[in-house]
Order: sequence, then structure tokens, then C-alpha cells
Amino acid sequence: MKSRTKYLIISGFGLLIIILIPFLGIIDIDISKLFSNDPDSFIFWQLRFPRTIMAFLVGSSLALGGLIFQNIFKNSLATPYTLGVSSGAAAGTVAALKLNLALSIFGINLVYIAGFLGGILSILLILGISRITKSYSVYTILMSGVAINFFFSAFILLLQYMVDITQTISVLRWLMGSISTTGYKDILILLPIWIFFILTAVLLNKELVLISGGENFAVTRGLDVKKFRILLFIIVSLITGVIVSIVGPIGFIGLIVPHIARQFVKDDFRFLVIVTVIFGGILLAVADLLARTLIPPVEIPVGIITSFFGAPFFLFILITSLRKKI
Amino acid sequence: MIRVEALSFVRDKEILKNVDLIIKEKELTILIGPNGAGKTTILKIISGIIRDFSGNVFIRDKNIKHLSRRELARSISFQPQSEEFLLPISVKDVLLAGRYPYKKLFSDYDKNDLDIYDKCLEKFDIANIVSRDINTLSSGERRRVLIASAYIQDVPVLLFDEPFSNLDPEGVMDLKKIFAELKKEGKTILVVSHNLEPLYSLTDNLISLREGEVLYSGKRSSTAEVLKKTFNMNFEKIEHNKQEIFIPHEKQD
Repeated sequence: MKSRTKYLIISGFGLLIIILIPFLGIIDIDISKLFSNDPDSFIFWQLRFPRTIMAFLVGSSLALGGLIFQNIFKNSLATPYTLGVSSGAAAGTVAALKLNLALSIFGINLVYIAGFLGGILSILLILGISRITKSYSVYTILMSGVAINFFFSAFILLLQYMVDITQTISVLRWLMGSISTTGYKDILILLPIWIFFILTAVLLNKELVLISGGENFAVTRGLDVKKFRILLFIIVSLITGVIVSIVGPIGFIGLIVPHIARQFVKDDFRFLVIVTVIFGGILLAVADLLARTLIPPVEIPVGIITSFFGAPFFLFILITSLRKKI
Repeated sequence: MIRVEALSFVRDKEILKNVDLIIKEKELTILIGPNGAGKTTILKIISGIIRDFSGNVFIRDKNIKHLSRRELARSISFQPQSEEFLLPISVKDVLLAGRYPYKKLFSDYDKNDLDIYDKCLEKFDIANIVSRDINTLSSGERRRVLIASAYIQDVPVLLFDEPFSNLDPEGVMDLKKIFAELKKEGKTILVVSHNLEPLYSLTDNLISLREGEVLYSGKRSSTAEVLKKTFNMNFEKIEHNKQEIFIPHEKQD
């Protein structure tokens, strides 16, 4: 297939799904009323459309973050979520909320910065542990991730326990990962970072392939692995931090999507980035559709949906990858 | 020419002790020594993987400490004994990575790179496996691909760590031909190998290392003596069809 054609097909497919999803739901939308002063128009443009776009942006970023982490750590189980970057970001966000730091400097809300710093803290912990033990093995890194996840979960619970009960419910809802409360304001915050993130991955496709071949492979082909790794950690932590502070930690997208995308795209990393972005966006948008339609009129937090379906898939990857090694 | 001066390296224990070496241009040199003698460490230092060593390494009179990673990757390639690819990676990606040192930031592999790539596929007869994951190849195919990936890097100096391990006889013959060709093209080649046999007819120089120290470095001659000192065993030289083979015997006291 000619290279431009495949990009057009996958983008068209993504666009189609994203346009289709806001039409679906408990209330049917009448297309003819879309641009009139009608409840249908309100539901479409003010409720379903922004949250579908938000789900797409979040899902695609989580998926791409997963792909990048998998390449850096050379393991399909390593993602910002499994390594504790998300829970670090969540802890940072909750701490900022608890301290009433919801003020902004130069137009940037401190809550996002706290999320970013929490994510960076997790990465530093993992790298520190690997360095002290002189073992950069997958085992060390994943185990460190488990420990970091537990620690930050305990920290969040402690803060939760101390805040007053009315706040607890909204924090709890956010902690489960939910897109329902987001609007155009959040999209405008995320969009520039999203564009920067995707461009980075597309432009650095050669380097990402090199690093996935291992440190020695990359170094002997002229890549400064250490600098490149730090750059990627900062960028992934930045977008993970911002996403977590808006919609909460949402798991398994970063794990599942790159795995599926790799089955389709074998030898064109730039295209793999695009496929991962579009699949990730669609998957979370569909999960969010399920979240708001599965048990009406209750809204299930989308994080519960992704974990519910994602966890068995995680085990599936684990079992197949272990069986391959034997 | 590669010149190694007063090279020492310590990690937990002393691995290399004040090593001086010269690896001659356009010749094939074999580096031998018992396990743990520091052979692989030398290759890793010359190729820039290990940087916290003391002493100096010069490639054509340029100190590698003053070369950028890209500059170094344009003069030297290194194929480790078992390159671990933990994620799926296609043969095409592995090969094109060899063009990376020539690329500017954000620039794509262009027609020139792809021409070299195509030539490489033909030369190493691997066009039929380009889109396969390297982890699914047989060890013979895999070795061909990795040597091709050194070749596509277009460097004057090629380093190999145990290139003949895990190969069936056909794979060994195959690889021998490839080495003969690389030498004919004027490449400087340094091979770490326990097994002198397959490359012996192409070998110009021999370096022997034991416990981090150089025992012998020079022209290939009196090999049986060098082997005896290196491995603490007696070796018997046998000539067969103009090929020399060295057979180890237990040392008699």
C-alpha cells in the first residue's frame, strides 16, 4: 500500500468514529436539529461532542505514552500507569487540591504542575532504585512500579481521609477516572500539549526505534541514549500529569493499544505512532460511550470500564509473552 | 589504525590492567583469551559503550573521548555476541538504524540511504526477510542481518564479539565468505573469538589477553605457543588441506 494512502485510511476511520459517537446515547439525536435552538443541539454540542473529543485526546495520549515507555524500557508491560507515573501525578494533584493550590501562575494552573511533578517523582524513584541496585532489568523496574503505586495510593487515601466528606466524593469520582465533567476549557488546555506530544513522537521516530533495540544498539549507532531518555521522561510525565489532573488516572489504555497496534504495523514506526494515537483515541471514546450508556441513568467512571476490560487483557499479554519465552 | 594506550578499567574488580594495543588498518585481528579476560570489555570501550575507563583510545589519531557519539558511530561498528531485542523490531528497522549516524535531527532516511539499504539486502541475500521481526529469525539469518547492519553503517572499523557462536556448519561457511569479502574491501576488523579455526586463514594478527593483561600482540606466528600461554594448555598444530587447526591437550606436569 502506498504510504500516503494508509495514513488517509486510518485518519478517515478515526474521524468517522469520532463524529459518529456523539450521536449515540440514551437520547437519540436528530441530525436536522443539530444547528437549531433545540435540546438535541445542546446535548450534542455542549455535552457529548466535547467529552468525545476529550476522550479522544486523553486516550490517544495515554496510548502514545504507553508506546514510548514500552520502547524506552523495552518491555510491553512498562507504561506510565504500571510504573506509577499516573499514581504519582494523582498524588501530586490531590496534594495540590488539599493545600488549596488551585491558583495559577502565568495562566498555568498549579494543579497541573503538581501533577507533572508527581509523575516526575515516580520516574526519579524508579531510576534511583535501578541505579542503586545496578539492575535495569524489567523485573526491578516493574517491581519498583508496584511499590510506588502502593505508596502513592496510601498517600492519596491519607489525604482523602483528612479532607471533609463532601470533597471526598468528588475526589473519589475523579480518582476513578472520569471524563464526564470536562468541557471545552479542558480541551483548550490539553490540545496544545497534545499536538506537541504527537509531533515529538513523529519527529523522533528514528530515535524511538533505536532505543527500542536496546542501549548498546542505540549507542553504537550514534544516539545519546541518556539525554534522549531524560527528554522523553519529561515529555511523557508532562502530558500524563496534565491528563491525570483533569480526568484522573485511567489505566490499561497505554498497555493494550500499543500491543494491538504492533500486530498491524510491523516495520514503519511513524505509522505505528499514528495508528496507536488513533486506536487509543477511539478506544477511550468508545469506553466513555459505554460509561454513559451501560447502566442508565448511572454514569460509570470510564476508568472502571477500562480497568474492567483492560485487566484481563493485561493477563493475556503476560501469559502469551511468558509462553513465548519457554 | 586503532591505538590503545595504558587502558585500565575497574568495575567491582580490575578488569583491564594497563593495556597497550595496536590494531592495524585493513587487517584482520583476532583477540583471544579465557572467559573473564576482558575481551568484550575492550570492544565495548573502543566502540564507546563504556566511557568511564582510564587511558586513551585513538582511532586514526583521534582520541575517542573527543568524538561525539555520531562521529564515533561513523568510524566504528560493534556487533555484540547476542544482541538482545526484547521488543519486536523488523529487519528493515535494524538495518536502517545503521544510517542514523549520518542523519540530521528530524530528517528522514532518504533515497541515498535506501539505495545503500537495497545494495546491502542484495549483498547479504536478505531481501526476503526484511519485514520479519528479528527475534523470529534462525541464528544464521540473524547473524547475517547483524553483520549487514554493521556493513550498512559504512565504517572503516568493524568489531565483532564471537560471531561464530551458535551457528551450524552452513552458517559458519556463509559467514567465512562474508568476512573474506569484508577484508577484501579493506575493512579493519577486530574479532573476539574462542574459535580460531573459521577465520584463521584470513587472520593477520593475534592478540592474547589473560586476566586483563596483554600476553601477546603481533603478527600471527607461533600460534600454538601463544595459545599455550593464554589458556594454560598444550595445543597441537595439525595441517589439513593447507588449513591449520589447533587441538587442545590437557597440560602434563
